[in-house]
Amino acid sequence: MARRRTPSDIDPRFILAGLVVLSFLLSLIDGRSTSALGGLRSASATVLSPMQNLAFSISSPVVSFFGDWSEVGSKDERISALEAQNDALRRQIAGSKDARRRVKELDSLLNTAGLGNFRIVAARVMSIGSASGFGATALIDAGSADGIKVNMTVIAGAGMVGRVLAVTNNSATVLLIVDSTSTVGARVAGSGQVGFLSGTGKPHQLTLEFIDDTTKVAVGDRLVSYGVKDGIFVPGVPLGTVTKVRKAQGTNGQLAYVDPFADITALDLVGVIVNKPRTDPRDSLLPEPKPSPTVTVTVTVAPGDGAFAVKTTATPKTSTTAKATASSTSTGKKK
Amino acid sequence: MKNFRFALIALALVVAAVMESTWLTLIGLPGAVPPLMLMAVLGLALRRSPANAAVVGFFAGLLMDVIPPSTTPMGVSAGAFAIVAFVVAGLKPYIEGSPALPLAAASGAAVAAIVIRLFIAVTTGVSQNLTDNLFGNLITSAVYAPLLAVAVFPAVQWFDRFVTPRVTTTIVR
Repeated sequence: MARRRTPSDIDPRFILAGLVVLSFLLSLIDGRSTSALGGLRSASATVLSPMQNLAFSISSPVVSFFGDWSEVGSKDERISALEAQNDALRRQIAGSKDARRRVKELDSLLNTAGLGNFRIVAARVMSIGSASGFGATALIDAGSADGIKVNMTVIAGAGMVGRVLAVTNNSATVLLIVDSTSTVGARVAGSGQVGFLSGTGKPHQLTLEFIDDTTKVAVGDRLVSYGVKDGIFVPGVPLGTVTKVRKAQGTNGQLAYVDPFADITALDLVGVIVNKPRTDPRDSLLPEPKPSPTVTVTVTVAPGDGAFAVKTTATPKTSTTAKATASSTSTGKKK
Repeated sequence: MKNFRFALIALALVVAAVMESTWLTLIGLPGAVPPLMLMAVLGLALRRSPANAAVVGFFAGLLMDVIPPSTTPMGVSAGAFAIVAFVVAGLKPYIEGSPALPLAAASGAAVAAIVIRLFIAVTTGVSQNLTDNLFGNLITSAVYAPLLAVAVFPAVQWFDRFVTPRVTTTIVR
């Protein structure tokens, strides 16, 4: 039987070695420059993302198919009819719960966009985190056909999600703010101090570093994006809350840990800001000060030596309650 | 006929990549994304020569590197999958008869794939912080891999038998 040289004629170890060398070369080229293999990558994205779109859109019918399927084969008709009815009702409840949650998300997204004067394109997240294990990215079901371009800011109702890294005709890859390669210019609400908010790969811990060593922040301080002219990010988008502050290594400055407002692990509906507002919304988009920890300081005078005992408690209260507590404490002290 | 078979297997791998990148990332399991594609590759590797398995692994890995929203440099998963598929195909005579050993191999291969991927990325100077959640990913991958393999191995092997003409099977043996 005449056949061409097949892999079985060559020492398999050579084939493996060749493939491994090729892998290293590809990684070396693709890891450095974006242009050399970028065409190949975007071409495959153009081919693959419609399939991902399809898979995403049929995922809920698949779930309900398995739900229906499990009812087949039951012998007792009455039980199976009741079970079917029960399942249908349960699905309906789950469905309406899901729909209600989505409406709520859309509502808060539109609210944020409206307040900031952003024009947004709403999109749904089809995939979170690369399956290959590193890189915190998401795939959304809107692309250049919807007016999305690279580097546009992506928000959820609660705040910043990331920026567009790559687009195809009907999908876009978003680099999430929690990714280790992501850095966003940040401004502390109120004080106006600026710094850089970088991802660490952890969903609830970003780090904030300041340009100026003398900058001071406190736990509970809130951040919005800081947009310079011609910068990537839209200014004024809520970023997150400072959860921990420590001394930065090697400098005299501070390093703050920040929990993002948008829950990156549970993204569903997001908005891509397709036009930058003419004016910086400053701090106006920050959520109402509801669960932000308010520090209550209680001062009691110890009898005798006149020393003060200061007790500081951080409780999640609204600012009005906190004010009331503070005033009542001060009246108490005067007595 | 051979090209047709090649196209069908390629299509199956594309379907695996699409499923892994959408459904498996969205179900929100803790740690790593269940390695569906790797399990499909290993299922095929258990029916192939090591060289053949390495080639399949290489292209399957390449697919995982480019499928959106991956930002992994091309070649990182490709090299890892090629090596792992080669080794598993080479182990075939030792693990074939047992029901548990292929699953243990799947678990080990999932861990090895992560480590090799990390090694290729680091040695080629990838700037990302690749050690994010590394430990958690290793542990969860080691658990998800055999769970997936229980279903994926027979499915892939059935599919491979289905698309392979009998004549070719005799030549391979």
